[in-house]
Amino acid sequence: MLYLLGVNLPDAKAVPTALTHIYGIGPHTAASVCHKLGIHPRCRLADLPEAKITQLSALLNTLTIDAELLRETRNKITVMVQSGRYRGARHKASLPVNGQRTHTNRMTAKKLNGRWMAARQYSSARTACAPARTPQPPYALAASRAISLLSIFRRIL
Amino acid sequence: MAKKTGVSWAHSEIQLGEWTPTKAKSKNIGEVLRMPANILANASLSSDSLYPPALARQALSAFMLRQTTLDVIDVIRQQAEKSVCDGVIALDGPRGVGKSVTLLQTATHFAKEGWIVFYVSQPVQWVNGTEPFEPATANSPTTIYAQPAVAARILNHLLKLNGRDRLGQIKVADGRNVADVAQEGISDPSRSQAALDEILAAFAVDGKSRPRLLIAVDQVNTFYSTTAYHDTASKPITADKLAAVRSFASIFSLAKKLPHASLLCAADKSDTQHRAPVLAALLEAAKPIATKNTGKSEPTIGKRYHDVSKIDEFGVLLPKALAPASYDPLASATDLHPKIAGAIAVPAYDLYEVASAAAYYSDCGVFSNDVRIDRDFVEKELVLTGGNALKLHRRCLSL
Repeated sequence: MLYLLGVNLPDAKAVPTALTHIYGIGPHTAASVCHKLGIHPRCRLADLPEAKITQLSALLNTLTIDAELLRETRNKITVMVQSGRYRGARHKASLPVNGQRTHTNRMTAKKLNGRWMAARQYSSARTACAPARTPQPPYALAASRAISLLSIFRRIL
Repeated sequence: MAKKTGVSWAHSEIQLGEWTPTKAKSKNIGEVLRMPANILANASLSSDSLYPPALARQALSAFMLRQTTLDVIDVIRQQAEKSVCDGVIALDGPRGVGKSVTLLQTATHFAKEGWIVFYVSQPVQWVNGTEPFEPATANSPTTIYAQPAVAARILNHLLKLNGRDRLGQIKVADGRNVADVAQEGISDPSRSQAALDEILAAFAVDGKSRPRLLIAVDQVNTFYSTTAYHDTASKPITADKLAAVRSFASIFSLAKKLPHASLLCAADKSDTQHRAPVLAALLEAAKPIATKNTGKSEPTIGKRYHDVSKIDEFGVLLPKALAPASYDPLASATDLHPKIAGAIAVPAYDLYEVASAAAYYSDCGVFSNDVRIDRDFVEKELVLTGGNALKLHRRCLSL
């Protein structure tokens, strides 16, 4: 495995395919990187000479990939949330953002959209959009449980 | 009695005659012959083998002698008698009819006779993106890309096929002999392309003091197609931009004239990734060479391309489906187009040849059930396969 810019790339794969293992590089970007460096399309990563690896590393450093890309995406979503936009509210509520239906089929969004709201290892500070973890009084907890049970009974009946 | 060598199949070993120049006679037509042992020794299953990888599979190393092979040998010999080579002889025909086999038989025949033979069996390896490439000259407006490994392999194959003794008789411009120049190119791949060009230039100088020369190239469509490589702007590179291809294409276009030499090529009709519409149009328009087979049932190679020169009176540009050659990137590069002196159509098997092939497969124990080789069986196979050698081979293996 070749360790390049914080990512372990598989040696046995062709260079354009191996580069897609880096977050932010897809088949098109990987191919254009190989074209710029004169790497033939069926070259295995293990067969790449040291000079080419150095050039590859230098070229990849100029691209926005991996942690920097994640940071940028998260910051953009944070801006949307803080500025009170519709898309920001959808991200905050973990609902679909791009106009999909929510009557059914919203569970993927419920799983994935909230990830941009949580704190990550590259950010030591909490964001303003992260859900506040203040302790709630007991009567508030009981009330919220009663309301959820009532909504379930209403659907059954 | 001629020495026979064995061919092992899964069930049995049969004795076959060896393909030598003495066997190239009309009385041996229809006989199944095996490639000589020294040729089979250089065959391997790897993609950089001198010969097609199929030759390394022992059961596929035998071929039937056909009239077409003898005709091609005669035509090549006549062309080499001329003081300057006047064009390329092209083998044409549909897929599986036997173009590559005829080319291989011709090349090995003349190699055995003492000619200098350049035999290129798999130039598709040069253009399919498997070999490293680099700009040959930096800061040049028209970038040519060198493939050192490819050039070194060509020189290695030249030495293997012809031997140091035969090549040592020919001198390059600075006085060294061709064998030494080739060896230098193999040892130092960075100099291999220059060595290849030096050797080809040496062959172009004098034809009387050296043995006759034959350049036989299979899959010649790859020379005029788009490769799997791209330049720094991500534009696909055409094959004429590769130095190794350029070396041979310049000979095929008669930019470099070779004295007392013959040029033979065959296109690969089964390769769909490296099509060359320009070459196909040139082959369609090529003058057919009269052989002993002419007058028998010629294969009807369907006219797939309209002749633009006859139709285009009002300058109408036909669509790509009707005239793909007009849209080929190399259509306007007429200086690179091969000068085809004539085309030899490799015909399909006739009844006698189908019977001979079926008898050979029967002797090898290929047929799984009890199949009787009689006239009805042969006629049925002829109708079902259309005389196509590849289809017949696959059909017999499946019976």
